[in-house]
Amino acid sequence: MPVIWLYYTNKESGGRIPVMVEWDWNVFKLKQAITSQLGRVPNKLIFLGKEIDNKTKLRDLHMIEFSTLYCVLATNTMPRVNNTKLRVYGSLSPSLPSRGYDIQMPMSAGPLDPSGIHVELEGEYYVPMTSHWDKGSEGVFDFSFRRYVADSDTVSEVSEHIYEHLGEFSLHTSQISYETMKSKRRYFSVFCRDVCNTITRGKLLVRCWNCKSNHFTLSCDPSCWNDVTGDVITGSCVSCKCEGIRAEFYFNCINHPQQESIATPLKQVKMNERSVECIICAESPDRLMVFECTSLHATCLPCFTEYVRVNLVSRLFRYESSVGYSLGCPAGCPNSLITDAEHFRVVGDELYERLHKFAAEEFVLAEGGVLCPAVGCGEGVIPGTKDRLITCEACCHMFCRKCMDRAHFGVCERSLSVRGGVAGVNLKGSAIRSSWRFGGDGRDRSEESQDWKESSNIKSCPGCNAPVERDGGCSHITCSVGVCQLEWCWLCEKEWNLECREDHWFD
Amino acid sequence: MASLAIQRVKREFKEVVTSSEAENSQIKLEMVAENLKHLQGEIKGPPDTPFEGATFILDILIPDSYPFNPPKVKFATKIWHPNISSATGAICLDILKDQWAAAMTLRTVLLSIQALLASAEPDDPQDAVVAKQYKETPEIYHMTAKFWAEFFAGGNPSSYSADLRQKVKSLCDMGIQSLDAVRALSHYNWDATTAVESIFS
Repeated sequence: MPVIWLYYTNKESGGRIPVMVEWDWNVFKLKQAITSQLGRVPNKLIFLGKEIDNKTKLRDLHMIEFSTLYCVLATNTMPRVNNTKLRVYGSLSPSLPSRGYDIQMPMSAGPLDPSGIHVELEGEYYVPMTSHWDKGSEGVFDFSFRRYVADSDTVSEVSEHIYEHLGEFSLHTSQISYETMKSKRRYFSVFCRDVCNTITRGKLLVRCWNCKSNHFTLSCDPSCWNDVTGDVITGSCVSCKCEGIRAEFYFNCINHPQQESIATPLKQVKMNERSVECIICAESPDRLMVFECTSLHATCLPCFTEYVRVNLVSRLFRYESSVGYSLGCPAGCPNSLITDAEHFRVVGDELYERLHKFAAEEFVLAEGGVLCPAVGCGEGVIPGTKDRLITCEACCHMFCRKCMDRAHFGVCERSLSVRGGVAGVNLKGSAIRSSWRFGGDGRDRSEESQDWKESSNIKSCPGCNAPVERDGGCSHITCSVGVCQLEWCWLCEKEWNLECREDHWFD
Repeated sequence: MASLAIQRVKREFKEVVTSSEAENSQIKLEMVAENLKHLQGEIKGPPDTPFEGATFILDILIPDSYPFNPPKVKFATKIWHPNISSATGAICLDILKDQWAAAMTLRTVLLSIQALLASAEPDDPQDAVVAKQYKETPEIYHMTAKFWAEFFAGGNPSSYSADLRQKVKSLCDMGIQSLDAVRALSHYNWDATTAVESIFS
């Protein structure tokens, strides 16, 4: 039998005990086991900051061996009714129409206190005498009621088996939610950084913001991202000394819930509940990456990964000061840049690193800075506006800001339109095309750069010096470096002008 | 070729074949190589343009990174249009360059190119000579475009086509290839003398 850990607490004491369980058990059965082991009645079982009801099977909680449950013990052995309502469908008598009634029952107490259950029905209410809950999870149970008539003081005792009348007595709501949970369980998507290194299913966990104890009950369930990310949900910390009232939510990867790992939530990865098709491959997967454009375009995760990869290696991300260096909807919609860079982790560590490198470069250039052109350096420098000669703080290389060449005296003849100059050839760890893998290893690449210079289909952008490869097409080039975007002529290697257009557009 | 590219091309193939435009034989798509990487498209010249009645073959290459990068499309059929190179068939169309989006398909590409034939944008030209002619002498442009459509793409003959054919023939008689003859004559607004001079100089 698998074992789980049970942390228990009440006003006076607390502790931890191992409990042997079966995954097929429901919570009620678990409570019975706890009762027999502790000699105390569990009042509430708390899982993920939420009280779990008796019908829930342990399997559906995705528990694994040595999972942890929190348990609040009742102060007295007979817990009183709490007002958890369950809707019961079916009529209590064959003569009455079949309709819903509220049955009040102490969810946590189960069979321990049948007096907590009563059914109200048009001036009459029923209180159970005995009950047998062994079929509990199936929603069919058998108990006899004592019948009270409200409008008279006379109490006629009717001991009858309600379920004989009904034939079928089902806990409708809980059954439905139980089934839908089984077929299409909703879950959060997270990026598991430490172990899986991929997008996985996330487990939402809650702890006390104050003492970080998981002994915490929520006042209400979170229902949206704001609830989870903001400090809006309250509750109470059950830990003996702590008075914490604010909930702190965090995520864990479902594949290894016991490990302390970083799993960052991916807000834009959502459950595909309406069978929406990926706009790229037209598949309809369980999960989608949803963009924040007005059309809410969505792609499947493999297509998203490839989309990010292709655009990253081609340096086609866009830099916007409010969002940073990011990518928008693949249909090209405006205002659709991904705001949380965690989503880009799907491309793997190496490319993700490169993304940060590009982003840093774009930032430096956008701020009017320059990137050191020394071989193997590429350090960002944000110099004063008047300085022409700049010394890199990282490698002490001194260079001319205007031509990005070695420092020289006199007036500089050459001027790049983007002062910063992505000195691509010398830039550490940078790549404009995927096939050009600059190591970032500090190795001297002057030989390689010589090869490029000789290759006729590679030239430097006259605006920012970034190497550009032309693979067919016309001579009208638009630089893809975010801050540059210069339109220039492949033949003249100057800014695109009317003459180029009329004379050698497609030579 | 990436599996996604293959999957996409297959689906888009189907989309084109079953489209209403294909039914009206406005567009067509065929395979050249079995690997779906090299395709051949066909579009009909739109009505009320010099290209009416003509059929243009497009050469389509699908990159491995499709659909994240655009397909490479050029005209295999010679055409006289400001946004298409009369020499190489290269097309100047934003969606085939930086305005490409992964959600676009070969059908939308074919239809966009067909739309380009109906509305030229001479301010963003691919072929400077054609663009100049389009702007300065629109009648000659119209005549030339129609003649090219007839000569190379099976377009409807026009009243002046016999006259132009005669000019081409006279150049061919001097030992000039017919394509060079047509190109030179079109370039010099059908002035035979200048055209011949340009070829022999």
